[in-house]
Amino acid sequence: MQNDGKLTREMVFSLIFMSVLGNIVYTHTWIDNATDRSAWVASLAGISLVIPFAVWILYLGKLCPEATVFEMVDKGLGKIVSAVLCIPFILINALVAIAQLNMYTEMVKVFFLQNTPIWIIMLSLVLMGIMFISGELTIFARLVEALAILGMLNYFTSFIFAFPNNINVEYIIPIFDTSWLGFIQGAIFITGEASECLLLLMIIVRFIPDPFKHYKWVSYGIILSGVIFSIAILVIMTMMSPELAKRIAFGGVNAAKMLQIGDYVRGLEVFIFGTYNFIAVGKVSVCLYCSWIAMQKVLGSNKSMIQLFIIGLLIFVPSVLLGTYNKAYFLAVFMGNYVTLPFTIFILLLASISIFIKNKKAGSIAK
Amino acid sequence: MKKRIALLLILLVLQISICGCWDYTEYENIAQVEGIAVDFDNSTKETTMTQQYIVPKSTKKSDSLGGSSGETGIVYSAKAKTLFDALSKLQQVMIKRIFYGYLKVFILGEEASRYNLMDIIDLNDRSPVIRDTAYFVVASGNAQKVLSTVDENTAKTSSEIISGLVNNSKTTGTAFPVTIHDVTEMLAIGGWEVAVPRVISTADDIKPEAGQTQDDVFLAEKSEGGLRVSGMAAFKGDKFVGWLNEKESVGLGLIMGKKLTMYQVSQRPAGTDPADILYFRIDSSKGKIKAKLVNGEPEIQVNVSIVADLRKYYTDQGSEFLTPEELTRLEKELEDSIRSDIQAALIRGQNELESDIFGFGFAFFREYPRLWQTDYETKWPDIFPDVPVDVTVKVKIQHTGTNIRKLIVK
Amino acid sequence: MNSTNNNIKIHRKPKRNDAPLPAPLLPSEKQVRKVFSSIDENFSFLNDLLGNAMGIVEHKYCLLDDKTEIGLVYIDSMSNKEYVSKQVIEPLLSSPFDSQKHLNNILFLIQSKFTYIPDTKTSNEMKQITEELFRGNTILFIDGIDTAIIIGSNKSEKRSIEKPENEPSLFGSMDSFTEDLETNCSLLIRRLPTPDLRFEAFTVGRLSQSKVKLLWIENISNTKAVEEARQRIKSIDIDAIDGIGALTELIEDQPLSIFAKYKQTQRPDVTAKYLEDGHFAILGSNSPYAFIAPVSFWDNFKTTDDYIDKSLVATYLRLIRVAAFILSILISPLYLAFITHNHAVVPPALAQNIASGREGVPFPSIVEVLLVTIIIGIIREAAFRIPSSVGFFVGLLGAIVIGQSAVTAGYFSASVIIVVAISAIANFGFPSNPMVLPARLINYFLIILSGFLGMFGLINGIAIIFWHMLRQESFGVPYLYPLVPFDREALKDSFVRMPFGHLRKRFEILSKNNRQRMSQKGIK
Repeated sequence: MQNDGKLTREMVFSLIFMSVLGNIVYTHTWIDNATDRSAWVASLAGISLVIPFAVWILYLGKLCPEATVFEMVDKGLGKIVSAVLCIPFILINALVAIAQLNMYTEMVKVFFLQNTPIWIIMLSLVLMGIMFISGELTIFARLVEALAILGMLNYFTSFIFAFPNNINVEYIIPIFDTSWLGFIQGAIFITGEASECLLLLMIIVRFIPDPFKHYKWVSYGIILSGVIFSIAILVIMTMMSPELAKRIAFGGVNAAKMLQIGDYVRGLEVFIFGTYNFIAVGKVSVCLYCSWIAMQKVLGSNKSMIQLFIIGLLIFVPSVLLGTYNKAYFLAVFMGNYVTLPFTIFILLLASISIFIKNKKAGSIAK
Repeated sequence: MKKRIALLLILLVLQISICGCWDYTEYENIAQVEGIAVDFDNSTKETTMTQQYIVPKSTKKSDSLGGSSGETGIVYSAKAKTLFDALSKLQQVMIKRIFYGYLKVFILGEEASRYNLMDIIDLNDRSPVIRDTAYFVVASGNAQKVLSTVDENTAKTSSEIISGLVNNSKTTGTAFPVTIHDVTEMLAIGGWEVAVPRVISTADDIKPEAGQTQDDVFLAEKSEGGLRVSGMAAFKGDKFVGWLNEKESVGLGLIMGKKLTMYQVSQRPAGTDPADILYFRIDSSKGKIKAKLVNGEPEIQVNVSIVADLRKYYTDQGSEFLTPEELTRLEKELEDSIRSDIQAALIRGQNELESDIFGFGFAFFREYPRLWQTDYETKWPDIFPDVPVDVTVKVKIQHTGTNIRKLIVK
Repeated sequence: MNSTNNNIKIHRKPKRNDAPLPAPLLPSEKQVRKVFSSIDENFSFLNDLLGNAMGIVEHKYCLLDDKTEIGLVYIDSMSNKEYVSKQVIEPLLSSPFDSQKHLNNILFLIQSKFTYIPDTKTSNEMKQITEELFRGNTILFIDGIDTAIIIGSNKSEKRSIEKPENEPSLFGSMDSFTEDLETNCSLLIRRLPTPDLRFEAFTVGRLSQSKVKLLWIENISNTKAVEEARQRIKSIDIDAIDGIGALTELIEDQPLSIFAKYKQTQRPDVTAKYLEDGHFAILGSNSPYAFIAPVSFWDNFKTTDDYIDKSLVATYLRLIRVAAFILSILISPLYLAFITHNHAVVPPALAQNIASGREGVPFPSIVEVLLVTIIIGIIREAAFRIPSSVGFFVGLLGAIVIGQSAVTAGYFSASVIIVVAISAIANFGFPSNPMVLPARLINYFLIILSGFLGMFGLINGIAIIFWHMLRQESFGVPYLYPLVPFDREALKDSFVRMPFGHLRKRFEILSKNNRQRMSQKGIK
C-alpha cells in the first residue's frame, strides 16, 4: 500500500480534490451576474480548464523525476533563481490561506458563534493545520482522504432533504440565458480560482510515482471536484432562485438554512458547515505545507518545526489584522483574477526552460 | 515527535479553556420569540413592533401554579421612529435575551405593508438568526391586536394558532402558505409579484391601560377574540395594493399550481335554490402557465387540471344511475365553477390591481429569456393588464363515493 | 519461499538510546557453573541456593550393587512423586544390571533402558537444572558424572477448560483458554492440525521466566510482521511480566495512544480464525488470553457469531455495533452543543421541555453533563467490584437516587440524565473491551470541546480524532485499513459481512502470497 513515502492513487485523488475547493466555494458569486443561470455549467467548464496545466506539470515531472518544480528550476537556472521564485510562492500561498481563513471565520461568526473573538477561531484552525502536517505527507494524505469522503457524504446527505419540497425546477430551466461572452468570462474566472490546486501539485509531483503515466489520477480528481462543485451550485440555485443565489455570501450554508426535516429539525446548517470546516482546515494545511517546503528550499534546512511555526504566524497575524469577510472576498477575487494562474504559468515556463537548458547542457557535454 | 504533538495539543486545550466561552448561553436564559408583528402609523410615521414569547413553566413545582400564562404567551410591544429603535426599547423590558430561532409567524399590519416591507425583508435576509422559514402574513387592520388575541378555549399562543391555520390553508384553498423566504424570492424575481395570506382577528384594538404601558412600551397585552386566515394580500413591487377575497384567492391558487385539496360547489346563477347545488371535493389540482408570442404580442395560456370526488348528488335533476354521461355533465358543472373562480382572480389581478401576482412575466422569461431581458422586463408592468389570457380547465371526477345510484326519498 | 512481502512498512521508531542503567544482577544469576560430580556437593549447592524452606526433597539411592549412587531432587508441591517413583525409581532399582558393562555408560542406559518416562533430557549447567526444578521436574544426579538427567514430572494444578466469561457467543464453541500454555496450544492445534502452523518459544522476564509462544501459519502470514514481532519480543529486557497483559504494552506500536492495536481474546475459535486469515498470535503462560496482531479498527466490531449467522443478519448486527460506538461518543457532545451554542436546531416542543426542565438547576449545562458522566463512570466501576449479593441493591439505589431524586430535588435536569444514560448503555453495545474505555475518553474530550465552542469545536474534535486514528499502525497495517488505504476487496468483511461466496480471498496486506481461501466450487 505505501511505497516508501510515495502517494497512492486514492491519496493523490483526494489531495487534488480537496485543494481545488478552496476560495472558490465563497467567491463563485462574483461571476453570477455574468453567467446567471448557467453558473453551474460555467463552473464545470472552468474547473476542467485547469487540467491541461496539471498535465503540463506532470509532464515536467516525467522529464525530471523526483523533484518539485523548484528543484527543476534549480537544476537548470541555478539556486538563486529558484530561491527568488520561492518567495512570491510563499506569499501567494499565505494570501490564499488568509483569504480562506477569514471567509470561513466570518461564516462561523455570523451563523454560530456570534460573540467569540475571531482570533480564537483562526488560532484553532492554524494550530490544527500545523499539527496535521507535522508528520509525514502520507499521513496527512490519509487524513485528507478520510475527511474528503466524510465531507462529501455530509453535504449531499443533507441536501437530499431538499427533495421534493424545496426543489423548483423552473428556477433553472432556461439554462443559457446569457451571452457567450458572459459565460466565457465566468468560466475563466473560475479557472483562475481553481488553479490553487496547481500550487499544491507543483510540490507533490515529487511524491507521485511515475507522474506522467498516472495523469489520470490527477485529471479524475479535478474533474470530480468540478462535477461536485457544479452540482452543489445547481442544487443551491434550484432551492433559492438564481437571483437570490447570487447574493449569498456563504454558499451552501445559506441554502441549508431553508431545509427542514419534518417539524423537528428546523434547519440543517449546523451539519453542512462541517463540510466547510473540513475544506477550510484542508486548505490551510495545504498552504502551510507548500509554504513550508518552499521555505526549506530558500533556507536550506530540513523539516524544522521552527519554520513551520513562523509560517503559521505569517498566516495567522495578517488574518487577524485583515479581519473581515469583505476585504477577504475582494482579496480572493483579485488573486483569482490576476495572480494565481499567471504566476503558475510563469513558474512552469521557467521550469520548462530550465529543463531544456539542463538537457542541452547534458547533451552537449555528452557530445 | 511526541513532544511536539503534545505541545500542540496542550496549546489547543489551553487556548480553549482560557477563552471563557463567549457564546455560551443556557436555555433558560433565552426568551423564545414565537411571533413578531410590525405596524406603521402613517400620521406619526412611527413603527410599532410587537413580540410574543413563551415562558416555559417549571416542571418541578408540582403544577401548583397552573401556569396559564405560560401557555398563551406574553406579548410586549414598543413604538418608535424606526424598527430598530422599537427593538431596543423592547429589549429593555425583557429579562432574558431575545432569541428568534423559534419564530413561527411574522405579521405585517395593513399600513406597514405599504411602507415597511423592504425594511423587514432586508433585515430577515441579512441576519441569519431569524428563521426565514417562518410564515409571513398580512393582518387586516392592526397587527398588534392580532398578535395579542387570546382565545380562551385553546391552550395555544396566537402565533401557534396562526401558523397552524396557515399550514392548514391548503385544505380550504382560500390561502396558501408563504414563508419569508418565498417573499424574498418573489421580490427578487422579475415578473412575479408578492401575494401573502391574510389574517383577521375578531378582537378589539389594543388601548393603553393604566399600569400597562410606559412611554410607548406596552406590556402584557391581551384581548380576547378569535383568528381566521382567509384571502390574500397582493403587492406591487414592495407596496401593498389590495385584498383578494376568497373566490379570487382560490383562483390564484389554482393558476399558480398550488396543490389544493378543498371543497368546491358547482356554479349556479344567483337565485338558485341551494338544494340544487352539487358538492365536490378536489383531490388534486395542477396548474401550468405557458407564455407565447403571437404576432409579436405576448399571450398567456393557463392549463388547470383537477381531479375531484363527488360528494353530493341527490338533486332532482339528472338520472338515477351515475352513468358516464351523467358524469360528463357533472364535470362540466365543476369546470364552470372553477373557471369562474379563475376569471374572478384574473379580473382582480389584471384589471383592478394591475399587479402580476400570478407569475406570468416569469413564465414569459422562461420561454424567451433573451427577449425578456432586453425588452419586456421594463415594460411588462405596462402591458400586463392587456395581455390576453386563455384558460383551459380539465376536470376529472375520479371517485364517486360508495353508491352508484342516488338516494331517492320515498 | 519466504518471498518479499513488501506491502507492509513498519513505521515504529526505534527505542531511544538512553544509556540503560545496568540492571542489578540477581543473586541467582551470579551462580553460573556446571554440575558437580559428587552428589553431595550438588545437594549442598542446591540447598544454599534455594534455602531450606522451599520444600525441596533430596534422596539418594544405591544402584548397581552399591557401586554407584543416584540422587533425586524435586520440589515437593510441584512434582508428581508417585509418577516418579513408579516410572523411574522402580525400574532402576528392580532391573538387573550388569555392573561392569553398565557402569561405563550408565547415563545413557538410565535414560534409554531403565526409565519408563519418555520425557527426559540431560544437562550439565546448574542454571538449567534450577530452571527445570522450578518447572516441577525431577533431577537425577549420578555420582561421579557431571551430567544430570532431567525428568519431566510436572504436576501442577490446572484450571479445567470453562466457558469464556467475557466473550459470550450463542452458537460458537464454549471453550476458552486457561492459564496453562500447553493446554492452550493444544486447543489451537486441535483446530488447525496442519504442519504449517508454526510455533516459536521465547522466555521473557528474568524473575518470572514466562514462556511466550509466537504462532503463525507459514506462507499465509505476513513474514515481515512476524519477523517484527519476533524482534520486539526478543528485545524485551524486564524483570517480570505477568502473562500477556504486560507484554502488549511492551511490543505494540505507539503505546501512548488510547487505541489498542491488537486484539485480546479468550476464545480459541476466534484465534484460529485470525490465524487462518493471516494474522499471528502470541500465547503466554499464566494468561488465559491470546494476543492477536496486526488488527485494524474494524476488528473491534467482529464476533464469531457473525460467521455463523446469516450474512444479512450479521451485517445488520455489525452496523448496529458501529452505530452504538458512534452514539456513545457523540450523543452527549451533540446535546451539549445544541442546548448551549446552537439553539435553533432543537425542535420547538422539545425546546420547551428542556427549558422548563432546566429551571432552577444550579449548574451550567457543561458542568452538569460532565458531573453526570463522571458519576455514571463511578457507578460502573463500583458495580464491577461489588459482590453479586449486594449488587442488585446498589443498582437500585443508583437508579432511584440518581434518576429520580436528583431530578426532583433540582440538582440535575432530566434530559441530561437521559442523554448520558443512553451514552453509557451504548458503550456496551460493541463487543470489545479494549474499545470501551477509549470510547469514554473520547467522549470526555468531545464534551469539553463542544461545551466551549459548540458545533465548531465538535467538528474540529472529530477531525483531530480522525487524524489520531489515521496515524496508528499495527505492525505495519494502517489502523483504519480497508477504509482509508482503500481496498475494495477487504471492505467486504469489515463493517459488513458479505456471504462466503464473496469472501474467497484474504486481505492483500496480510497475506500477499496465498490469497485464495476458497475455490470457485466452494459455494454453488
